[in-house]
Amino acid sequence: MSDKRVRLGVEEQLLRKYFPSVRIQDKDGGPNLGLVGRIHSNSGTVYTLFCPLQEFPERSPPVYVIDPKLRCYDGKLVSDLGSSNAMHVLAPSDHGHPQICHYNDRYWESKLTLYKVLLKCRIWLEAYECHLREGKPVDHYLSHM
Amino acid sequence: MNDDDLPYVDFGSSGAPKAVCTSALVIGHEALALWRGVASREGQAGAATSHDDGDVWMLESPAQRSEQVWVSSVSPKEREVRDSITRWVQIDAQVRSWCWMGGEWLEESVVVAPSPDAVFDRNRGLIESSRLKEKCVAIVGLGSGGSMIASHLVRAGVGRFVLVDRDRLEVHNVGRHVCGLDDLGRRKTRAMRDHILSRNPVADVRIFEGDIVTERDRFLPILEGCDAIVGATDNNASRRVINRYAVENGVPAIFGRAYVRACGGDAIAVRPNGPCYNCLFQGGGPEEEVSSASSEQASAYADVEVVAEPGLAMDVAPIALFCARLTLAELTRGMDDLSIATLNEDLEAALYLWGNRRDGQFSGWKPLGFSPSGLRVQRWYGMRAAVRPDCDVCRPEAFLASLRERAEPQDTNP
Repeated sequence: MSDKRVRLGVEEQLLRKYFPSVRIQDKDGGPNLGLVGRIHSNSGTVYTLFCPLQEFPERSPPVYVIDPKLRCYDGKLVSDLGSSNAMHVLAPSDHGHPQICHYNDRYWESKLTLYKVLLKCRIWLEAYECHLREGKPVDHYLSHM
Repeated sequence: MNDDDLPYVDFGSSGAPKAVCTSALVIGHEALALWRGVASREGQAGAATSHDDGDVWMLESPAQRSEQVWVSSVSPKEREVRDSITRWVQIDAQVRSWCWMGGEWLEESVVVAPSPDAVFDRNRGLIESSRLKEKCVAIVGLGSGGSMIASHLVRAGVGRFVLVDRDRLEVHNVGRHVCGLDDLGRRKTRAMRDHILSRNPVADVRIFEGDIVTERDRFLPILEGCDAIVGATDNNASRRVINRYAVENGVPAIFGRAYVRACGGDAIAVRPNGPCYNCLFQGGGPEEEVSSASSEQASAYADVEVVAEPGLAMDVAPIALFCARLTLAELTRGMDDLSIATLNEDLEAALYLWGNRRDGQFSGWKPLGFSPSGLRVQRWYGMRAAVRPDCDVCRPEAFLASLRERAEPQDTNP
């Protein structure tokens, strides 16, 4: 755990350089070890993300959108889609928070940083806002970003 | 010779036929000695099982024992006979066995299966089983590949195992697995433990049933004391857990996997001070066989169907056998007097590649033909690799230093 704690400390330093409103909680191995971040999109909307880190860095860490409650263009909850290729989301949390698909676990590497994970989530949020404006699936916009 | 020397021949021609006594096969004299004094109750399934309609009774090893057979150091005639006792085994200078039939104790012919050293007699000269019986191998993942690796290592004489898997044996596994329909529904760990004990009844087999990634803190302590770890799982996260443990503890680890539709595969040897799994594969590595839909669905989209891909047992077998061979080479490293020690010179690469057929990523390879040159299927190719200077597992300090450097605020010119 100590090696992991050292890494998480450095990861947090790196994250704060680019995303000032993030912190890693329970770094000492508490039950809710994870990254909490508030991300601002280009439109000014603020999203709160949570990324459990129990299995990091061996497995790609899941990232959930805690707030606001995300809805699709047609008004349905994103979490009701389950996992969706078109919207680039994976299975929602037990509490119903949608999970952003960033790195497929198959292509994940343990040297990849949380900064890169959050960067990809930031891109997903921009694509999601395009979806809200025009109605095309997130997949359409991601392929143009 | 006078008439008094001639034996009386009971030709069975008069009176009721006598009960014909079965023979007993006693596995492992040493193992059975541990049973001394165990009481019995008839009717429980277990220790004494008949085969071929009672032609042979098999008294199984202690790890599988129940309490059906009375093992005693004195003959049944010297003890109070209990109704429930049907068989006695006496262990002293020799092993004798009696069964209760037709109202009397009849002595059975007993075959004591030879000691484990003798079981592996045909390995003698290549590997003395005494050199391997204390060696411990952890096998993580007991699917078609892992089960075959375990099966070959016990037959080579390895005496201690840690078996790890979270799944049960399902119908679709049977076609490629060491265990068959008799083990359907059982935990793979327990079925394979029985398989190992059927080859070496005094093998020491510990099992772990769970997910090694999510239950890492519970899993890693059981690897303590292992001389080698085999990673035969079907996902990178579990391989990374094993890899990190192996590097941090200086234990060799062997990984094997089949590619899509088992068109080929690779075997990886992570040795102390050598390149690790992370050094070899950036970006996750080659497309692998989807061995079960359930394991893949955790990271798949629900609107994209996931199906387990076909792959023949004979296509998995070469990879599993090679992994077993790599493991054996690591276990015997330094035992230069053994004939198989030459393997250490042959198997020095970190990564080996195998093509089963000219399909998938091997489609551009030349036909096997008769030439030894060029890339061709049905051959192993060893590849040299080096430790990556920024590997987060092999070189954690260098990796963290590079992260710290990136985290430092950059000088900005106003």
